[in-house]
Amino acid sequence: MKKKLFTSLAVVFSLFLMFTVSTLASEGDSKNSTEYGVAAVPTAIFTIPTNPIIGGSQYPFKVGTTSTSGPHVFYFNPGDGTTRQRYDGRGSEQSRTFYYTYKAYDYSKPYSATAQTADQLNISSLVTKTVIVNAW
Amino acid sequence: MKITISLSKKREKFQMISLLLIIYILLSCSISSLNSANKTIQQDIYDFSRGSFDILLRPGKSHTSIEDELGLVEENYLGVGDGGISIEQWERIKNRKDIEVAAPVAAIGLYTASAINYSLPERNESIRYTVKYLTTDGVNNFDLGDTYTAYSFLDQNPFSKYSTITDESLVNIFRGEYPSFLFPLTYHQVVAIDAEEEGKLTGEDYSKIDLSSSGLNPDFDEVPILGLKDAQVPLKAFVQIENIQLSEDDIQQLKNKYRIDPENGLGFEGLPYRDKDLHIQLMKELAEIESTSTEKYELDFSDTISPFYDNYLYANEEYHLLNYEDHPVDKEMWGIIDSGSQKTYYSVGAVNYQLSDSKISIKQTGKEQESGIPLYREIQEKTNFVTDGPNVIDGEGIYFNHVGYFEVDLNEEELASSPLGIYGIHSTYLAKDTKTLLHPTSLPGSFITTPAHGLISLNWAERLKSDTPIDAIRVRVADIEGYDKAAADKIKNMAAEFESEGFTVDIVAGASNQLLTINVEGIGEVIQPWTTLGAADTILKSWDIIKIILVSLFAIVSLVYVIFSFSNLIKSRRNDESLLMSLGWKKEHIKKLRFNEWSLLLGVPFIFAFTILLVASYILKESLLIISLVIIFSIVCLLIPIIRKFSLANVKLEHSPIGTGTVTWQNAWYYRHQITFSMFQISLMTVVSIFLTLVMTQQEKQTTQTTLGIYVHGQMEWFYTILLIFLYLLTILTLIESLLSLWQQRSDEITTFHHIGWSKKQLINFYLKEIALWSGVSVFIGALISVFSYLILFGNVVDSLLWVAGIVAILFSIILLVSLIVLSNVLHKSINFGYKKVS
Repeated sequence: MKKKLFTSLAVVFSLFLMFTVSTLASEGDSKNSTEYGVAAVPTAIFTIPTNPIIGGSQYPFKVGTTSTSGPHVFYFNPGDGTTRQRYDGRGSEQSRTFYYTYKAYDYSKPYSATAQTADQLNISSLVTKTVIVNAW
Repeated sequence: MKITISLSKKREKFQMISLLLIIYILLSCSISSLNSANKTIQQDIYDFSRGSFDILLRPGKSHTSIEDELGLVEENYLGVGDGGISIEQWERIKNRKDIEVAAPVAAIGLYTASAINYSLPERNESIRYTVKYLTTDGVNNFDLGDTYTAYSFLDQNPFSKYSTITDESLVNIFRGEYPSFLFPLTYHQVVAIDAEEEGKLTGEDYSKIDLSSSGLNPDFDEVPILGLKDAQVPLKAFVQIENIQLSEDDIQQLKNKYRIDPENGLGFEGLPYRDKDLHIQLMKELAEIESTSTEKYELDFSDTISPFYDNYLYANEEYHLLNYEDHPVDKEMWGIIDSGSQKTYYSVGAVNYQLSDSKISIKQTGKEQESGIPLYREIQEKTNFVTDGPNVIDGEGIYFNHVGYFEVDLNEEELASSPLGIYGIHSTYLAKDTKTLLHPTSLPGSFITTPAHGLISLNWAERLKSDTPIDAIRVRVADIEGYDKAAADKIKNMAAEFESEGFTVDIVAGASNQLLTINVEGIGEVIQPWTTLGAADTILKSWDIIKIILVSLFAIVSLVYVIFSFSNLIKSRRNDESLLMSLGWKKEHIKKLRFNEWSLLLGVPFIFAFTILLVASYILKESLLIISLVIIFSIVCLLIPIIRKFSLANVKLEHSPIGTGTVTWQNAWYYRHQITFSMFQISLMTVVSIFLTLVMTQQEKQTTQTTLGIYVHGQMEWFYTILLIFLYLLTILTLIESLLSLWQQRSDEITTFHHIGWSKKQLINFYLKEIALWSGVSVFIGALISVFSYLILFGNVVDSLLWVAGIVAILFSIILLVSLIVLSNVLHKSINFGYKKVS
């Protein structure tokens, strides 16, 4: 009897906890979407070649976005100087590939390549990836 | 005889009454006109001269030599400067309660926009692109060095359907889908301002320059910049597009020869990075391929973009260059932007103007090595930061972010502009061809200081310039609404206070534009807009001087006329009164008769004048007309006993002959007491004619140099004309009166000469010689007084001596002509009404 009682209490307590957590969670969601009225800030998805990069060779650098509020603008900065490239999409495409050739040196050189995307409402945070350019 | 005397007295009275009536009206009207004209001009200056600020503060000893010499500054004189005022000093001034606006200006230097590319239409064929650039100053064109070459041909590979072969500088820029070239660097004036204070001064919204965000380079700070909307970029690209024969076999052979393997990332594009020698060899080989057809295009950037534009730029299918902001497209766009373009900038010095014999010239200081563009001022390349690849290794990285535009007022006919110092847009043009406008080339060193092409926040000024970055503060004094005496005093007091603190201070209220002719080496004579500082004060002074001279001379001329006429009248009445006394009249009766006569002489013109002016003052609502008349009448009445006393005191003076010299000279000397007044009047008329003309010319030259001066003097012209006509009219009347009086006294002499057989011609000749002698002396004295007075008061008069001689000749001729007419009339009457000639 004691065991049943404790089991019942544990179940009730668990149900109570689940209810409370789910209520709190739903409250948070509602605050995000109603109180602030701001659409989700897009996140840039930055994909760099998995193979070792060699100077003087061309490579694809893919910049994508989590946003569905297109058209999107995609930014790519190879990090080897200060030049950045920009692609202005027209449809709802969620990614664009930038092709880039790093300068060739006789030694390995790391660069901080960055990507960023913007939709019609927001601009994403920078996503940085280290690109190691090997000697030609 | 009795009839003659009676007629003479009646005519004399009528003449006196008429002249007094004219004097009453003329003097009253002139005083009233003088007052109302003064009001009009004061109002005009009050309305137009106060600009958007009152005082210009600059660091100590900021005046350039040309500014000191000419009192003028270049239109955009604040676009260049080494600073000297700190942010703390500016804030202290801004926080003063008696200052409404304190807008700082800090010239940052000549910067280029962030480098961007421009794209040509995609071509699905084998093409050789050759591009070169040209800039212009409006007169001469300059080739901007290198020629850029790129090849594009169909060659499917993992990255594109095209392969491209380009100069090294075009790697990652030129693409088959977007045949792109870098837009060459062009340099533009950047000025730092405080958005809030500048907004108060101009009414524009500059708040965007205070908004900053992080960009794609976390190591760099983003500097928001506003670009001048109507500014142009003087640049043209000459694009040659050649079709070349390049078969698949040819491409394959090239791949084999130059070790190209696109499948493994080793495309043509990266060859300059992999093997420079091989790349040079490839470019040489391709250059030898003959073209099958050629197209040539001229892309004019000046029509397309303004400075600091940093968006997409493209040519449409017709190869017309378009900017993306004004002409967005439906297709996808790709482009690059170089955020490191502000790594270096140019600091420019002031133009070395040379002033010689009132002519301004500018010499070249050198030439830009590659393009041969002439330099007219010292330029110094300076570094903001140094990078090693992506890393800033010295200094702090910045890049400009073009956040919008600002515009400047295009009202070129503005009467009194405030020389804000950075927004001047008046064109410089060739003197011989006013349609040929001049402007700086795309590179630094021009003699023209352009308006600010880019505005950034003052918050960046310390970092980009120095600890004391501010070149000037434009101050608007609080609680004044226009430029009148009280406002001027308040401004002057504040200016003196700032001056004591070590600032160079200029009161700019009423400044106005002015065009200068400058001889520029390599270009010729150009007309350049400059601006004066403080024209309203000059115009007020100018008006005061002319007003004082006019009033004084006019009053003297009138006074002398009244004294002389009354004196003559009193003298002529003296004999009549003696006759009446000998006939037994008592003194009281004579006094009563005299009183009645004077009442008639003075009262009748006064009543007439009063009636006329009463109506006029009612219609014109100008009570000063009546007040002036009453004052003038009172002065005239007070003068009578004084003149009478003086005239009777001179009765006993005996005329003594000189005894030597010609008869003409002896006669003139004998009648010296009679002609003294006439001589004085003629001298005065000469002074009026010469001195006033010289002063007016000098003052007008000084004030009509400015737009405001031209306007104000345009308003004053009619007043000068009317007043001068009055003045001359009165002087001539005075002269006629004095000559009549003189010859009436000598009527017996004239009759005697006639009796002894002198013809009319001989008489005229004889008397005109006399007049010529003393009037010549009078005119000469008047001319001497005028010239020396002008020399002492205003300076050089040598340039005007020809004018003086001309005026003297004209006056002398007029006097002789008037004398001849009067003499003929007198002779006619003397001969006809006197005794007949004994034959």
